[in-house]
Amino acid sequence: MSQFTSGSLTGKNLHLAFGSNKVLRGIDIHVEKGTAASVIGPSGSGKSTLLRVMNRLIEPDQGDILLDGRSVLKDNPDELRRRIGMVFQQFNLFPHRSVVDNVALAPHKLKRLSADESRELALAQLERVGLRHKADVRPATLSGGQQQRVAIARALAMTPQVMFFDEATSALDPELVKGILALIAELGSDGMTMVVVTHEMGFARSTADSVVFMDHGKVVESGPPDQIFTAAETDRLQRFLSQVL
Amino acid sequence: MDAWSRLADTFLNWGYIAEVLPTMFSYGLLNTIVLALTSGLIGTILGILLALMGISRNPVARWIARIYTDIFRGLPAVLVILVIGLGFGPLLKDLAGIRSPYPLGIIALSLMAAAYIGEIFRSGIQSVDKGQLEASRALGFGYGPSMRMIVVPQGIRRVLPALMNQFIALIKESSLVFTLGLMSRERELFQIGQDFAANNGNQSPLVAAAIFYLALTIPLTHLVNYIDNRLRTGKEQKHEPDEAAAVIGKGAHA
Repeated sequence: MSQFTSGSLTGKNLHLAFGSNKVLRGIDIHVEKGTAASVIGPSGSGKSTLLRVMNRLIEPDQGDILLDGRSVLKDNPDELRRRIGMVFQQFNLFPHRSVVDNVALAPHKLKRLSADESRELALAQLERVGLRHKADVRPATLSGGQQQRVAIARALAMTPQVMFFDEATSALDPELVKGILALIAELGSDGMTMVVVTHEMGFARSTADSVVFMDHGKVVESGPPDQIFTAAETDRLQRFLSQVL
Repeated sequence: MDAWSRLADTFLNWGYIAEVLPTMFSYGLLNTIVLALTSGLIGTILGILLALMGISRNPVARWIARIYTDIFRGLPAVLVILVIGLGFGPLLKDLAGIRSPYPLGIIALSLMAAAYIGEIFRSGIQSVDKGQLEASRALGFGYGPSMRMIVVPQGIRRVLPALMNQFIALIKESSLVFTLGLMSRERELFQIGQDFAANNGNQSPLVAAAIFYLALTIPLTHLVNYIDNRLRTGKEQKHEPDEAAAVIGKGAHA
């Protein structure tokens, strides 16, 4: 399987408020090139919002975002998002298009590959996630696990430098979770830079290179998984871990 | 003649019906269809425009769409047709040399249809899951292309039945152009029936018109139900169990 040309990702002092509701209150996060960071924390702590701020689906009020060491806040946000793949909890496949068209659409329209080239590329990505044989069906005919695989293939087809996973297994039946987590882990070992927002503590512990614990819009504690899961320093992290483990 | 046969003669006098049928077939039916189709087409184009304005991020565009829709949905159809048909008649004559109020009737019907069709499209587009726009933006598509390629096509698909109903309403409302005093070749089903009925003091020509309308609207109504059903059950395609689930043998089948 091909290696990725991934990049490092840094968020500096990121702030975001909706009116008086402060969702992010000075987040600092750094993900080394080719490593995976897991973001954990209670619901409403701002984990999913952090992802959307770092690919500028939502513009931060304050702070900076660096991709491969270079600030991207002045770039065209659409072009930035072409370099950052994103996978959602609810898959969000386009139901009116076939599986292969879901994957081929962005390379065809945004990278201006020909229809044949983008289809070939899409088929190769579907091959990677084991669904080449489903290329010409509609997403609605697939199981949740299969849909999420297609969503991952769709994001990879743009050859991103970083991948975001926003609770990618939360909407899946329990027995389908493992397969998707294994696929994400495989991307990690192929050298993809990843930010994985997850409730799967086992995954955060075994696969992530670093773990970031968020609460109330702040990074409360971060470090290598061993440290976070066995030697938590803060009360809040200890309390959170005692509830979820 | 007793009361029953007098009643039968009033509504089902075959002589009168036979007399009015050739006129209805030769241009009444055509005029009704032309009125409904052209105003349906113009109304759809204007309606899409209104819907896009209605969901626009520009507040001025949203307000214009809102006010337009409120006005044209809030007025009786016959009033709009009369005001536009008679009021703009002289202008049309001066500008284009057209004396017939027929085009103005089409415009009045189109403007009203646009208000309803605009609301149908707007609600359809807004009913598309927000995740669709987000996924498209996350891939790197701009707002405009995302709406055009992903959101709007899904919105339009699910409002097809409502659109067809609007077209059925137009077939019926096209009868109101009779208030504009059209020339004989421009008359549609209802007015032809009404003219014959008035001239002969017998309602049978109107019954003939009614049969024409029902022949148009009933099949369309059932077509709408059919499409509606297809759209509903089309979504419930069979789900395939995941390979992993199939091994364990539960969950995806449930």
